[in-house]
Amino acid sequence: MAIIIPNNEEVIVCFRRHWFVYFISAFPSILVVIVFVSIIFIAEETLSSQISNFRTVAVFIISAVVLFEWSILFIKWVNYALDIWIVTKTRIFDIEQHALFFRDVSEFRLDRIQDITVEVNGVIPTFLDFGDVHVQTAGKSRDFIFRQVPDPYGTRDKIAKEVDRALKETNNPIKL
Amino acid sequence: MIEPQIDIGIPIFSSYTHFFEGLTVDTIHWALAIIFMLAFVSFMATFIITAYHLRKYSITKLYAIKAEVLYLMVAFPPIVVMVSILVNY
Repeated sequence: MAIIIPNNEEVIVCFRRHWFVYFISAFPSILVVIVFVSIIFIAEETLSSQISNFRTVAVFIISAVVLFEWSILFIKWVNYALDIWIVTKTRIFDIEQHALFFRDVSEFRLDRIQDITVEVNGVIPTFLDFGDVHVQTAGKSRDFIFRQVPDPYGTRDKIAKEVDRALKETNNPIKL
Repeated sequence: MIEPQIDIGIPIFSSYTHFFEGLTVDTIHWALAIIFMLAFVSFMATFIITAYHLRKYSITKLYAIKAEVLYLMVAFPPIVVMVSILVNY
């Protein structure tokens, strides 16, 4: 955790978005490869009479498309993997990777959390068990939304438990 | 079977069944070389940019290295296939 979190922070839990979110963003790339291969197979009969060694050319073009789409898939995966929420003993780190060069990092103290709300909206989120967790903090600071996290009710319970512990420690500090 | 005729207005492409008749082996070779160059440049650019982000921002360095190795392992076979075709065409 040395890269993002200060060394003195003890990490309780990390969570990312649900895998389905990545699958939906990756689906067009998979579809492009399938459609491209299908078109080449369908056009083979016509084109093989016009292009010498058509099969070789087809394999070359399919390889190029696969490489290109794999690069797109990997970029999307990096964006997915770096989009993360980390709960430590004292605070929550909200790291949103919108795109490769668009990153938003914020943190807030657990003892400032006032309200945690779960929102599961739609058929697929209900069946696959993912949704948004809204965290409202005290004061004028903005609310935080953990979008499309897996097991949102469990996530809310974990955060609530840590908030209770943080509040107890704030109200009854250990005297040395 | 009736051959479909679709005139798109360009003389050598008067029908899609004759779309590629004007292409010589040299032309195809050059086209493949350009496609390879574009694919390889996009591969290298992706690798450099994602490696930078993963090394800088991922939660552990091991996680970043595993992801980079996976990317290279999957990207390697298409590159080898393309180079071997380009050399032998």
